Amino acid sequence: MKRDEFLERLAHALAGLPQSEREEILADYRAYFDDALADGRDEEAVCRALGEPTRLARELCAERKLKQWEAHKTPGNLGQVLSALAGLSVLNLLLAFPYLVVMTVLTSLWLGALMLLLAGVLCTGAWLSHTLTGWPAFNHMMFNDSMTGPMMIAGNTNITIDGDGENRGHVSIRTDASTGSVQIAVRDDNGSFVLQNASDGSIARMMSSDAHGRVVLGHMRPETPFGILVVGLVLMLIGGLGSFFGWKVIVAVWRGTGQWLRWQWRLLHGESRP
Amino acid sequence: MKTQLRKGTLEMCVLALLSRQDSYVYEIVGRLAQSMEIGEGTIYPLMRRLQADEWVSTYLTESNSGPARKYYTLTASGRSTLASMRGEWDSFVAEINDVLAQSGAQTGENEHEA
Repeated sequence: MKRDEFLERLAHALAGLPQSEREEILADYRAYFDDALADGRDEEAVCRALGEPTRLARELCAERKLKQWEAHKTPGNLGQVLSALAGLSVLNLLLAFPYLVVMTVLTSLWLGALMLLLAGVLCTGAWLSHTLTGWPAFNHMMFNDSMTGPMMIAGNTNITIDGDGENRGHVSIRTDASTGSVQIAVRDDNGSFVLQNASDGSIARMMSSDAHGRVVLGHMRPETPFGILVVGLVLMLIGGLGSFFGWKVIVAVWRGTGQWLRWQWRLLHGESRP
Repeated sequence: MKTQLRKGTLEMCVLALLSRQDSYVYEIVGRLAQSMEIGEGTIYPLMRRLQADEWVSTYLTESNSGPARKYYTLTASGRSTLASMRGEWDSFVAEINDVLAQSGAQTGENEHEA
C-alpha cells in the first residue's frame, strides 16, 4: 500500500466525522508521511507501521463517540458508542443486550411510577373540583367502547337505547331520571351480561351468565368523595416516591455506563499495544 | 508480560517526553522507538486522546521545508497528571522490587505472575 492509497482509505473510513475534523486528521497523516519520507523511509514501510487505515479510523471515531456520550448522555449517543466499540471488538454486543433489558425495565418502572403520580394528581384534582364546583359528579357510569373515546351516561336523564346484533344479540341501555339508575344489558344465544347502578353511583347489580353458570355481584359501596381524595393522595405518595427514586437509580446506572465504557476503552488501549 | 506492563504507561512516557520539550508526532515516535518497542500507528490516536483530555495542546510552527508543523505541548493539567502518574509508577515499582527481593532471598527462584 502506498501513501495515497492509505490516505484515500483513511478519508473514506472517516466519512462519519465532521469535515473539519476529518481534514485535520488527514493533514496530520500527510505531515507524518512527509516527515517519514524526509527521514529516508519508503512509503510502504510507513504504511505497514501505521497499520490498517480502517482500523485507525474506527478507533478515532470511537473516541469521538465516547466523548459525545460523556458530554450528552442520550440513548442515541449510547447506541453510537456501543456500535463503535463493538466495531473495535472491545465489546461483545451480546453483553449489551442484558444491559438494555435492565435499562428498559428500569425505565418502564419509572414511567409506571410517573403514571401513578399522574393518576393521583387527577384523583385529587377531581376531588377538589367536585368539592368546589360539584363537577365531576361521582354517580355517573362511565364506559368506553374503545372506538369513540370515553362515554358517560348521566343518571339524571331519561334514555332508552336498544340495539340488535348477529346471533340474536341484543343491547339495551335504560336510564331512569326519577331514581337516577342506569341499566345496561347485553345478551345473545350464549349468555347475558347486566350492569345496573343505583342513584348514589353504587353498582346495584352486576350479573354475568352463560350456559354453565351465573355470577352476580350487588350492592357494592360507591366511591365517596373522601375515598377518592385518600386514593388520590396515596397514589401521589407512591407515584412521587417511585418517580423520584426511580429517576435517581436510572441516572446512577446511566453514569455507571459511561464509566464502564471508558474503562473498557482504557482496557483496549492497555492491551492492544503490541 | 511486557505487553501487559505497558498498559497505561505509554501515555506517561509521551507526557514525560513532552515535559522536556515540545515535539511533533514523528519526532515523538522516533524518541520512544529509541528506548522501547512501540506500535507506530498507536501514537497518533494516543495524541488525540491526550488532546481530548486536555493534557496536551497544539500549536503550528513554520518549518523551513513544506507546510507548518503541528507541535504538541504539555498543559498545566497534563503536567500535574504526569506528576501523579510518576508517583504511582515509582511506588508500584518499589512494591514489586520489594516482593521480588524477598522471595529471591527465601527460595532463590522467582514466581512469574502477571
